[in-house]
Amino acid sequence: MTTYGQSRLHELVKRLLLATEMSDSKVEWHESDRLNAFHSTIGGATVVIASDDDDGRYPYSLEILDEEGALIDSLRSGTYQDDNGEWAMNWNDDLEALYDRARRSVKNIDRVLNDIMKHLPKLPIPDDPWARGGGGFSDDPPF
Amino acid sequence: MSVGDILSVAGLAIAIWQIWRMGRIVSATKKAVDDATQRLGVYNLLLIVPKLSRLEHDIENAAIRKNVEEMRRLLREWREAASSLRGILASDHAHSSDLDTLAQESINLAALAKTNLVGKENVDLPNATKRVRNSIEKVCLETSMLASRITSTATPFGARQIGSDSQGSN
Repeated sequence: MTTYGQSRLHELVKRLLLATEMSDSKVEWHESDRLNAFHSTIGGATVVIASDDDDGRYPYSLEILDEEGALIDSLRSGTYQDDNGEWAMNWNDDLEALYDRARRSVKNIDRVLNDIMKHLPKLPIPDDPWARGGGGFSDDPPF
Repeated sequence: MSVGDILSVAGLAIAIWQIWRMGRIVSATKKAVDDATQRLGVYNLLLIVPKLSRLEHDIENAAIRKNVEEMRRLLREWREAASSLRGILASDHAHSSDLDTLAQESINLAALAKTNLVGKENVDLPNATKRVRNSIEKVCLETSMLASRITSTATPFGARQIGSDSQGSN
């Protein structure tokens, strides 16, 4: 069963994800000496999204630090078990998405990819029957 | 107009005058308290500068000596000192918001670096604390510059400006 605190933190994760994806976002992520963790100061507190095992992969955690850097709350990926088996926590996917988005934001990955792709030919549209191999037109009819 | 009326009007005038005078006293008192508070903020800032510098120095030494436990302790101390600095800056109306931001970031980085050192006795300490040490260096530099600016423009309490007609004593 999800607690009230976990629900609120899950909401925070979703809102952070939305804010991070906005182009004019006020949420700026930064790196620190802690490996595979990114933080952002918002409204006097700091949120940290991290890969718990320092490997950039599951499990992930969201931590809230107060103005003095003390940890006051956290939400972690995980699973729970019931009579029907083992289940992932509701927020696992959102935590992973936030981690990925924060990482891409810090490293400017999308901007770099866009710059690279500018210098490359565009891929043909997959369903276009006239697009073949090297890009020239084929004499074969599409149907 | 009777004597009583005259006395009433005079009493009212005196009361109004006293209220006006009290307002001026309250205003002057408030100004004096504000001035004292600002001076106290300045003094507290000047007191904390050497503490921050000492911590910066000790943190650098801990990184060189690769003393993880010492580093964790010093990072905790830095968080406390930087939080005090933020408190001082908040009490001074002319404080530097850039310095406040730098101090906050250094607190965050110290907390995160400290977490990074848990259970890692053989960690490459200089590398594992590079960002936080850079951040601490910036805070110390900015704080020193702010303190220098303040001391170069402040008039010491009770000092009088030496006028052109003052010959001094020989």
